[in-house]
Amino acid sequence: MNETIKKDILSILSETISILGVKEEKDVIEMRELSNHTIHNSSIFQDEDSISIAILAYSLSKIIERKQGELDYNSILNLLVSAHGRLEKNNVDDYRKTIKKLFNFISTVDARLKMYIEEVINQAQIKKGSKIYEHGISLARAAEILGISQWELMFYIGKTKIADAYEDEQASLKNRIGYARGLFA
Amino acid sequence: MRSIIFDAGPVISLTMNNLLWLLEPLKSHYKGEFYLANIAKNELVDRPLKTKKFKFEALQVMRYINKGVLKIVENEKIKRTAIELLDIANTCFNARGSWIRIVHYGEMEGVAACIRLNSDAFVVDERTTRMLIENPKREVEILKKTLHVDIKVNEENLRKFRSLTKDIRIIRSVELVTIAYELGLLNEFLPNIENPKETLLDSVLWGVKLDGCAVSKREIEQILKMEIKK
Repeated sequence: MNETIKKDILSILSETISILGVKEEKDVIEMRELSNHTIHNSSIFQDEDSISIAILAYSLSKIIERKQGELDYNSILNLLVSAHGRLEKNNVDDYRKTIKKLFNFISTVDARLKMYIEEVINQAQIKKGSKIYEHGISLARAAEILGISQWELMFYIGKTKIADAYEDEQASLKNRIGYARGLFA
Repeated sequence: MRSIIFDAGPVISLTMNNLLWLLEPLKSHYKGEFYLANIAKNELVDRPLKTKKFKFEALQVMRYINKGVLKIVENEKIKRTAIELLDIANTCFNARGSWIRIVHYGEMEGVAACIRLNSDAFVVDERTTRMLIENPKREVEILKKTLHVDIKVNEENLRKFRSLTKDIRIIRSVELVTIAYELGLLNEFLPNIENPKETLLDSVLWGVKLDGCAVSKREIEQILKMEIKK
């Protein structure tokens, strides 16, 4: 694993451990903010570790939102501490196995919520894909990085303000329509 | 034979809005071929057919491929050019010591088909490929602004990419539906209410925007102003 990526993931894990250290109402907001910060590395490095930590942070924020009172923070914290320790010691394979265990734990946190949690993870992929697209990565590449279809991603992106934030000059619109008109005249 | 190449995106926007049928009359007006790159067909048809999501949409696209309205284009020259374009585009921008893989092979296959077939236009709804071809400086601005890091530009590769793609003209699904409106292809949907034409055009423009075509609200307002004034 690239040293820059490793350093960033260790920092994200430390922040997550610190947020979940004490159960508070603001955990959801803090986890969501952390999840928004984590996605930049996914756009730059496009590696599985940056992507999975971003998805994990978002999924945790959603699950805490839904089940805060009943959620067993200790099991999550133990796994997070273990992942941090393994990565710190450069045991990348064991780190990845621990992250996988975290995802498994999230998926089985409540049998009644199984469908909801699957949906949360899928939503996390789409949301992060849309962020990566917003960062300037192409739609097909963003979909590929997150392992989702372009159909899903376009459907979501269309409802965001991404196209409004970085619009074209008005002159290019007139030229484009003029050119298209010429093709179909 | 003149031709227009379609990326997967515009086909998705049109299908999601029940407007895929427009391709047939548009093609008659164009008097040329509409092509899809092979990898775009994979994303549009083969992949959703293996899942539950967007399966029926895939069947709709398949119907237009089977009818020959959309033809699949694939050859060795296109593949070679696509790989060359992909290598160049994905080594144009560097952040934190890493090349940003900015585009996908599928998009570059469409661009390569445009170059090899000397096509009249590439129809693409997503922003990055369009920016890279038309206004790469804007792409750099976007990367810097959104990633909050310094972006190093490989000027030589950017120049190469621009030189290879300089003759490509880009249109989006939003321009296709505007032209369809101008040609009267949507007239059967004119509503029996106040401002019927404006309502109809507004509905299709927003339809494709909401399904992923990279067009801004201001551009839609501009199109409406231009078209209603006529």
